[in-house]
Amino acid sequence: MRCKYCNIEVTCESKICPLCHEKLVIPYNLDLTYESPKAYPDKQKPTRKAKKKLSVTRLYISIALTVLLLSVPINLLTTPHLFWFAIVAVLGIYGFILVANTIRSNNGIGIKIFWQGVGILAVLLTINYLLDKQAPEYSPTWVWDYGLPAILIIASITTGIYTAIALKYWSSVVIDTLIISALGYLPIILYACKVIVHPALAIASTCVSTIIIIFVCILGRKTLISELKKKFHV
Amino acid sequence: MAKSLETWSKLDNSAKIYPMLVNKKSQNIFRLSVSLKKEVDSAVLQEALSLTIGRFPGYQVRLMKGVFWYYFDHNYSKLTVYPLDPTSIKKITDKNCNGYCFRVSYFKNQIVCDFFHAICDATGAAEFVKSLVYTYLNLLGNEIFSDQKVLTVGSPVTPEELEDSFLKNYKRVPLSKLKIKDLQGKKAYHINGILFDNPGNGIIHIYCDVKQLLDVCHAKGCTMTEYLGALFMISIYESQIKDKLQDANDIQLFVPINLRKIFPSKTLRNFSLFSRIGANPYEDMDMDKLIEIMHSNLKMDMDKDNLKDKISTTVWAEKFFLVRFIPLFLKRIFFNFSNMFFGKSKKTATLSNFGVLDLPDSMKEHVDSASFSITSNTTTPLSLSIISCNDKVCITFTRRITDTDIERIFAKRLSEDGVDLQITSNFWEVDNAL
Repeated sequence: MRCKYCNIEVTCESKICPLCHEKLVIPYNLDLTYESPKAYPDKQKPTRKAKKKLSVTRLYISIALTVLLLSVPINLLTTPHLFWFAIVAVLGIYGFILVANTIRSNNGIGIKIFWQGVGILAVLLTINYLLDKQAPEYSPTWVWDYGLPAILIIASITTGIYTAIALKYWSSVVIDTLIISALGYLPIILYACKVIVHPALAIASTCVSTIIIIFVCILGRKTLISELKKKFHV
Repeated sequence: MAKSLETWSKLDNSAKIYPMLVNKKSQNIFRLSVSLKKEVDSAVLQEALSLTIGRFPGYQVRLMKGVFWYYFDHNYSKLTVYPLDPTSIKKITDKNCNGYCFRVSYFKNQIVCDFFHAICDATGAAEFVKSLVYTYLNLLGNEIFSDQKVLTVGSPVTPEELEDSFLKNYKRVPLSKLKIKDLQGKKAYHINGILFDNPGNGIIHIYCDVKQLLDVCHAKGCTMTEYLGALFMISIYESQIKDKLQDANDIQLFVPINLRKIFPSKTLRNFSLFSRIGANPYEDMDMDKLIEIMHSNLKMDMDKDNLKDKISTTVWAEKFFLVRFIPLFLKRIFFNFSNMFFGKSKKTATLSNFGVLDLPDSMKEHVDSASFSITSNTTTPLSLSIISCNDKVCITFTRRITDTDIERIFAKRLSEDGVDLQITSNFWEVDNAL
């Protein structure tokens, strides 16, 4: 097929010229049984999966915003002295982390657990802050005393177990495990800084972290050194 | 060396920047495609790929994030061939390529390889593609000889193939000799047009006979790159600037220079630099003058001493202690910011001439042609790439805009100069072209 305007031969399957988009002419000597080959596969419409992924995120944000907007007037009308809608807002954000970061993303286990911990801590801190305002005599530091150490213990144990089970991914999770376990020392530091009053769980968190770090360092010393070299090369 | 690469390796000097510039809409990818005379057998191609990858340990890698730099880790995942995706040229991600930085696809009689620039440049990639096609054709039962032009599966991997040739050719130079100003450049004219509302590139391949095109170039006393570069600039001028009243910046073409032709190197990684060629749209838009501009700029930029200083500048930038110890996420922010304000605004388009894809004689009879494409993006929405194979030149336009006026003028002028043209397209701008 030829384009008489551009003076070119179009060798792919087409009725129009790729350059000027005018109709092509059939040369007088063309074998009409010959079919021009396709140069590229046919275009596809957006798949349902792509549309679905987009709509799930949008749907979640719409529902969360609707619930939040409804909770504000209900809160102000029923219990104006306690702004519990803040908890709804933080739960909404936590839900987003759960959906976007933990369930639907391809992030590594370390990042998923880290953001889960941050999300849960944010929810607990909001509840703590509101209860603190409501009843100051009610232990104001319970998040620091029990919440944070508990989160860190669970996080350390989860990454530790995952590292032990998923031996195939050992090299890629070993640094994450080490970092999460190192965060387990945070409660004991907070106790030293007198932020934490009751140290029982802080001590437990320190012990769990120490055990996991020792295990990782003994069992995976070579991998650990190699991973540290890779990650920190300049 | 090969043993150490089985675990991890640093990115080469020029590769370091590419992962930092990846965003949702763009990634520096190029495509090398070989059209065979018979339809591709996907099962045999898969077998050929599994065999070939073992010969190229530098490509059997996964890109990983470190604290200060990216690095390559050995990739143990399965390397798969895919049917060609209609979205040309699709981003290469961890998800759609099993963590590899390249993708091998097939469509009818074509073997299509897309490479993320972080692992190699086109010259390195061509060695892989040649080896893949060679293995594929041999597996089909053909008697193909390498003629020492193909890295065959059984041949040993040499340390030279895996080296960072930038580092090898780096010499400490005084600060005053560094070509920092050369890297900056002037503001450039930006090609305008309606951007595609979907991902993917519009691709137009123009095929012509090597001899015919070379005859035209010789008549004008220039090389193919100089002639086609001049033609490209004049097409941009006629399509976009000529009838406009507003003042336009200079047309600035980026032309990659293969440093292997100037420095002794057998690396299969990146070893190229850019030449920036500018022309004033109100003074220089004459074919002979543009050819002269192309010639003088390329001659100057391909001078060995000049290139040595440029290599030293880029390696110096990488080795500068402040750059080395800045965390990766801050580097990404910095590079994207500087690319947005200084890099893209100083480029009109890229013109890349691969040269000849040199195949052994016994392979030529099974290969019809080859094509080479580089991606374009929203700020530089048109790129031109050239490759010759089996006495056929393939000139490929890759664009992110719907308009094909520049290509039309380019083809018209080429045809007027006496070159017979054959054209194919993916018709990305049209919904019902067929």
